[in-house]
Formats: sequence, structure tokens, C-alpha cells
Amino acid sequence: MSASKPKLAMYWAASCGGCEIALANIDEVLLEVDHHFDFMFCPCLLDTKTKDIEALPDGDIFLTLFNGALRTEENKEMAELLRRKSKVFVAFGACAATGGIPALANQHGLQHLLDTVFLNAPSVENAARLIPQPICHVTDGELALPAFLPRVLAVHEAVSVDYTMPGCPPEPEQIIAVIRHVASGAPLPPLGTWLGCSSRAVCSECPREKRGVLAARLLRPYEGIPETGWCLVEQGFACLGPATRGGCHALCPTANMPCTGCYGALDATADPGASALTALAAAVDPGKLAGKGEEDLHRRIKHALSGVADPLGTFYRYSLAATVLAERKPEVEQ
Amino acid sequence: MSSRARTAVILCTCSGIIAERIDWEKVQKLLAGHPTRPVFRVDQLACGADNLEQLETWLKEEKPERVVVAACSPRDHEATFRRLLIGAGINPYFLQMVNVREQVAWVTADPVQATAKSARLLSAALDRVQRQEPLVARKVPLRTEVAIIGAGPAGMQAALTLARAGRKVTLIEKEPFIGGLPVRYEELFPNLECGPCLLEPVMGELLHGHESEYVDLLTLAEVTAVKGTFGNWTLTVKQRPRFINPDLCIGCMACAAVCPEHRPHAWNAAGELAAVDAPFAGALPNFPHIDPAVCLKLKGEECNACLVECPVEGSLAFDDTARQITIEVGAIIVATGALEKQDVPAAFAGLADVHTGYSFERLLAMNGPTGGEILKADGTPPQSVAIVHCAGSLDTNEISYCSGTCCRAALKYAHITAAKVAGVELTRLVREQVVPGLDADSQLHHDHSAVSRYSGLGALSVDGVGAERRIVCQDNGQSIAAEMIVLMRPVVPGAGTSKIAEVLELDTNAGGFLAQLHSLSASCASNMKGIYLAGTSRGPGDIREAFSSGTAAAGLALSELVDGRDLVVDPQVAVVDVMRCSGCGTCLQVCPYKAISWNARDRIADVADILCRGCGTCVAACPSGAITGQGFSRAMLRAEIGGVLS
Repeated sequence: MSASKPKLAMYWAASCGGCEIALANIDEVLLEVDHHFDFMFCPCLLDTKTKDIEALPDGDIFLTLFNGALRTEENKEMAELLRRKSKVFVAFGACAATGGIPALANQHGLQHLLDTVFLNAPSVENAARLIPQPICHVTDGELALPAFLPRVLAVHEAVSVDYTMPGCPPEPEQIIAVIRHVASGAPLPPLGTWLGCSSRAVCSECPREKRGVLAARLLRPYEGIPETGWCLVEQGFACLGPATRGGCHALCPTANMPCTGCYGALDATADPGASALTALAAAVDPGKLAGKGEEDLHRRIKHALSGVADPLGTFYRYSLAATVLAERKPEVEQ
Repeated sequence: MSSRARTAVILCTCSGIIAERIDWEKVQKLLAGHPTRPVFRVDQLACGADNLEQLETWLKEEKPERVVVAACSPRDHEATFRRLLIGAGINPYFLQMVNVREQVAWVTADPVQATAKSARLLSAALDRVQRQEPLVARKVPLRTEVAIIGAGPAGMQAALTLARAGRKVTLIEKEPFIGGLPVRYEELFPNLECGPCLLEPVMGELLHGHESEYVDLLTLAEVTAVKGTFGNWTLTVKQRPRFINPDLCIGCMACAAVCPEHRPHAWNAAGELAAVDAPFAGALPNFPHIDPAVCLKLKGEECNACLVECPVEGSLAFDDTARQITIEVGAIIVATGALEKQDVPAAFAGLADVHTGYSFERLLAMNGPTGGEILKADGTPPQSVAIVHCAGSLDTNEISYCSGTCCRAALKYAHITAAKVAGVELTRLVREQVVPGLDADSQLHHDHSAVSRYSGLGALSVDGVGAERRIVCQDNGQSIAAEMIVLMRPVVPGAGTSKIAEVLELDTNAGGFLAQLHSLSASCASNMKGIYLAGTSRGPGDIREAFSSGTAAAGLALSELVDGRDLVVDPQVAVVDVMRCSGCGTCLQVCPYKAISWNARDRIADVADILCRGCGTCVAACPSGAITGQGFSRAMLRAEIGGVLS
């Protein structure tokens, strides 16, 4: 019976498992999924093996939701495999879409990453200074680990992606809407479309009130308690709502948490961090600088931005693999 | 390039200036394979009148859809070539200029490099112009009314000049009285003309003359907000209550004579003024004014002294309230004036009989605190008067510039003092002396005061009191009799000038005066079109400059706002994509022209094209990429960058 239903696969590459939880969060709609699809591959939930996928004819899977960024050779191979085997291949979640949190590692060289994690982190005790190797010889033979890619990739950088569903993770109701649409047999949107999100920024969904005032400076989260009901940006919090796709119903700002930008930038062709930075820069009162020198300007800007301790991690938190900065060579920079 | 509109390229040699560096034959060869397959034409002087006729014929024959002109800066001839396109039946916004004169020929010395650079820039323009869209300029009527802020000599002169041309003028004055500073000066440099006598006819004409019907005078009024642009300004004016009904009051001042309450006399810088009073005889408009902070009745206490005395019932209007007035005009003339720096330098602070130029002027005035007698605070004339020039001017620690007017005033004070106080010992302490002008020398030549040169205020100290008081000068050890001291303080922007700069968002110069569009050739124009400057809002000056700059500012308003001539709204403005705008409000904060407003119904931003100057600030700031600068779309700019790099 299951053979007559279209196949549905979900895979995790460099990811945290949150996307799978988001799928589980659709609750009883999972029954609908089961009714419409043969949910046949999901390493988090099911015991299907890679060799089972390899055995399928090309294009046999109807829909693959591929989450996670590409950190290792294995991630890339799985992306290529599932792409080949799928009719509709969706980059699912922020990491698959634009690199997400794993792509923040692109700020550093591979050696630096390994040293930090296995040698230098305060909680690590590694007297033998052991660092994982792609090939390891043991008495019973040879063990292999997938090697790192030179940098973390968004999925579309390795394989062609039909659709992108952003979010960290994508909201359950958006997942439901997408699955129901696909199950209904209705025509699919043009290739390349971002699904499960809005064409307008989070602000359009945010219930907080704009008062048209400028913030004295940007604040770090611990520096203030947000006033209920008033726009976080205007209060100086680095809320990325103005520069982030909606579709989440402003979940975080509604709960007093500044938007961190997980649904990605709006203008797909603009630099995501730059648009977030301009939005916040414009929210800060420039003060009376007419006629003042460059030094005063710099001091003022420094003061205004002192609330952003980690600019790259703030403005490119989910997007570092998909920006103009992506190809920067960390070793050279270091 | 997917769309390939037929493109004509006009290569100008600028009479050989461009061809000295750029080989147009070579450029044509380099671009021969360009996907847009342009048709080229080289012109010796593309902008020449004869040439433009030929170009129009050529364009009509070639029938291109897009035109690229490689010539000078668009600031020079973009308008010329837009008109050419209109003549040839092509939308004028299908033009792209490449500035190969200023940006290549004049700065790239090597002809090989200059030629290669031009080819790249042309390649960029060819790619860009494919993406350009036809735009249509909109015409809106422009207002010819003018608002003038400040009713001193400059503002009054501007008002009268405009009124004589039949222009409606609103003259806005923050004080209860008009005339500015010189109306309070008894005699003016250099010919000792009477200030009020000079200004009285001007004020009379303004208030009651033939043209007065064109002038709406608002005293006690200040501009608090402005919106709009050249041709269509909307001013919000707050007018404080005078508590006098101008239609009934006859100006007899009987009220002032009986008023039991008094306030410090700010206009005289000495003495007191009744709570209901005019500051001096002859102040216009001829009504008193009530200070609500002092008047017992307005403070809610029992007092009817003035009401009992007033011969015309209803003249005293205690129920008068502040008003907010909206004024719509085409242009604004700012004549908010300057004043003497108010603080007294440390060496002189707190001492008796120390005057600034202004308080000394009032001492000399017949309608001043002493009726024109030069008297000390104790009511007796001084035996000695020391006039300190440059008291704070030409001083890098205080005011670094020379006001240029104080030496003249100081010479006048010396002259009048010598005449008024028999036997007075007069000394002028000078750092520099500046008395330019055809008619200024007689005062200098007839001056009989002793002159002592000093290096700066730090070199002066005051010793002794009363008739024994002396200024001691470290530089030369001289001790100068100084029973009365007049400090010629520097001229600085008036409070109204700094305030209006903020409200109108006008640039100021290092001295805090309003920045002129050009200090030599456009000294009565501000950086903002439709806002003109007159009088000492632009910098220190005398009454002569006030009158002439008032006339000049009115002339600019008359020449730029012509009845029946429409304002053409450039279509190269910002446009909001309503489907993508999230209403985040980022653009509202960054627009320097207040062109963007909040559309509360749809919760999005609205750009008013008439106010937008196409600067692109909001385009860059919009985090949704929902604003497009028409004529400068992202697609065009990317195509241009791509073309340069190709």
C-alpha cells in the first residue's frame, strides 16, 4: 500500500535536530502526513539506511526536506544523493537555506576550530592532545570519519535547490501549510520560491507599537528591560525584525525577545547583514553632529553601536554562508 | 543581456579636450562586440546649438530606443541632452551620461589608460541604459506667497520689496515689536542719522502704507515646524498672546502708567518696565504688551488698575490665548539677525558701569533708560570712559573672527560721548582697527580719543573703583582711566537664528550663522532651494547690508517663484513597493526632506514625490529592499557595476 503513496524524506546535515522537532510539533497533522505520504527516510526518526536510498531509482522520492548546513564531505554527499533521488528538493530551515549557526564557524580556519574544541576550550582536558583524524588506524583495521569541507556551505551552494523554507526552525503551521499544499496536488509555485514565509518583514506581523522615536544607543539585552508593547528597535534593542522575512508571526518580539533574523533577509539579492545593520543604524539618534569633525562622528558611532558586542554574530547569525563575506579565506585573515 | 534595446552612443570630444586623452576610434573598436550592438557617432562639441540640431536629425533617422552620451558631467549638460531626446521623440529618461571629461580626460594622464577606462565606463552605461525605464515628470503649481522670519531692517525691506510686486507676505517676528536692533539706536554710523527716523517710514509703510494689505504681520510669533519643499512650504507658527486687542487699542499707554507690577527692562538692558507696557516711545506696532508672568490679573490675583484707566473698552484682552497658525508659502526668507555676545569677560564681570555695545546704545538713546544722558548707575556722568575694541573677537579662545562692525560703533560712541560729556577722558583700547567704506573715514579722522593698543583680553585687568578705576594693560604697563567701560563684544548669531536653523534644518557655518549657498556669489541663498537669507542671520553686518540683502533675498524669491510657472517634479524619486513594505519605519527617520510619512491605514510608508529629492538615503536604508530610487534602481546599478567589471 505504501508504494502507491508519494515518498517523503527528511534529512539532517550539520544541524541541531530542531527542524525534526519542528516537524514533530505539527502534532496530529502527522497522521495526515502518514495518510498522504510514505514517510520513508528520516535518520532522526526512522531506521532507513543510506544504502536503501542509494538503491532507489533517481527521482523516486517525491519530496525531501533537507535541513542543516554542509559541514562535512558526508553532508555534501547526502545532499547530492537526495537531490538525485528527489523530485522536489527543499532546503529546510535556516542552516540549509543560508548556513545558519554552523556557518558562523566560517569566521575561523579549520585548525583553529579543532584546536578550540579539542584543546583550548576551558572545559576540555586533553593531555594527550588527541584531535580527530579523517583516517584512524586501530588494531582491527582502519576507521574513517568524514572530512571537513573547507568551509560550511548553504545547501544551494552544493546542489540545486527547488524551494527554500527558512526559519530556525520553520514554524509548525508553516510546515503544515506547505505539506497540505503539496498533498493537495495543487500546482507548485515557481522554482526558487521561498516557502512558508512572508514577503514582508517581521515588523508587519509584530504587535508592538512604533512611536517614531530614535534610540539613544543600541543596548545589549542585559542592559534594559523592554517596555511592553513598544517597538524593541526604538528602545535600542538589536531586534532584526525590520530586516527579516516574516512568517513567524513575530513570535520572538511578541515575547519580549529581539528578533535574531532566523527567517533570513528580505531582499534576496542584497547583503543580509548589511540590511540589518542599516536598519539598526537608522534607529539610533545621530545627535547634533552638524559641523562636527570626523573624530566626533566616530566617537558617536562607536558609542551608538557599543550595544552590539558581536556584530558578525548579530547581523549574520544565520546567513554567513550566503553573503558576500562567505568566500573570505579565514587562514589568510588570521 | 536579455533585453537589447537599440542604443545610440554620442561620443563628444569637447572641442578636443576629451580627444586629447581618449581615442574614440579605439573605444568604438573595443565596444564593437558589445551585446547591445550600439551605433556610434563622434561630435566635436555635442552640446553646441548647431550640433544639437544635427543630433536630433540623426536620432530621428537612427530611431534608437536608448541614448548614451559620453561627454561632460551630468551637472553641465544632462538637461541639454534630455531636451534633445524629447525633441527626437525619445523618453528623456532613456538617457545615460558618461562623464568622460571630468572623470577621465582631466584625471587620467595616460591616453592608453584613459581610452581603456572610457570603454569600461561606456560598457557600464550601455548595460545600465537597457534597464532604464521611461519616466514622466509631473507638474504641480507653485505658491508665490513668501514667509519672512524676522522683522528687523532686512526682513522689513524684503517684505516691502515683495509687497510692492503684489506678493502676499507673512512677516513673522518673535518680539512684540518690529524694527530689530537699529530701531533702538539713536544715531547710526557714519553720518549719525537717527535710527528710528530712518526706520519709522519703513515700518509705517509696512503697517499702514499702500502695500500693507499684502503684508500679514505676526508679532510674538515663532516658526516651530516646517514641512515641504521649494514652491510648497507649510509652516507651523506659534503665536503667544499679547493680551491686547489690536483692533481697539489706540496705543495711549494709559495702562502702563498705572500698572503696579514691573519686570526687568530687557530691551534697555537696564531699569524696569510695567507688566503692561511698550519698551520705548515709538515702538511699533503701537500697542503695549502684557507679560503674563508678571501681570497680577493674569496670575489670578485681584487687580483692575489698567482696566479702570483704559479709555477704549475691550482693548485689554485678558482672555487672549496662544494660537497655532499654519502658513502655506512658496519661499521662506530668514532674517533672524544677530546680537552681541551676552556674557561679560571675567576681568569685567560684576563691576559697576560696565556696558556692552548694546546697553551703551540704549544709554545714548533719547527713549532709553537715561533719556539719552550718559550717566553712571549713581546718576552722575563719568569722568572717564574706556572703550575696549575686539573684546572677545579675533581671539581663538573666544570668537576667532572680526565682526567688522564694532570699530565703527566704537568710533561713534567716542564721538557722541565727547560731545555729550564735557571734559571726559576718553580712551579706545584697540587690538586692530577696521573702518572700511567710502564714508567711514571722517569718523576716524575726527576722533580725538586716546588710543592704546593691547594684545588680548588676558592682558587687561581692572584696578580701583569709581573715579579712580583704571584698566591696567600688561602689554605696555599703561593704566587707563575707566570710570565707565564699554566692551565691544563680538557679534554672534541671535537665539532666533540658531533655533530657525534647527527647525528648517539649515546648515550653519563655523560661527553658527546660516550657511550661504556661496559666500561670494550666492550669499542670500541657503543650501536649500526656496529658503533665502537676509541680514545678519548670514554673519555680522550693518544696517546698510541688512537693507541690501533684504532686497536681494526678495529678488531671489521673485525670480524663482513666478506666478503661473509650474514646478516640475523630477520623476527620479523614491517609490515604495506596497507589497514589500513592512512598515518598519526605518525610512521615516532617515529622510532629510521629511518626504516620507506614515500611512496609518495600510501601516506602510508613503513618499511624497513633491518633497522627495531623489537622494536615495531611504533606498539604501530600507531593510526590506522595498524602496526603489526611480532612475537608480538596483537592477540599473548592478548592471552598471557588472558593465564596469566585464
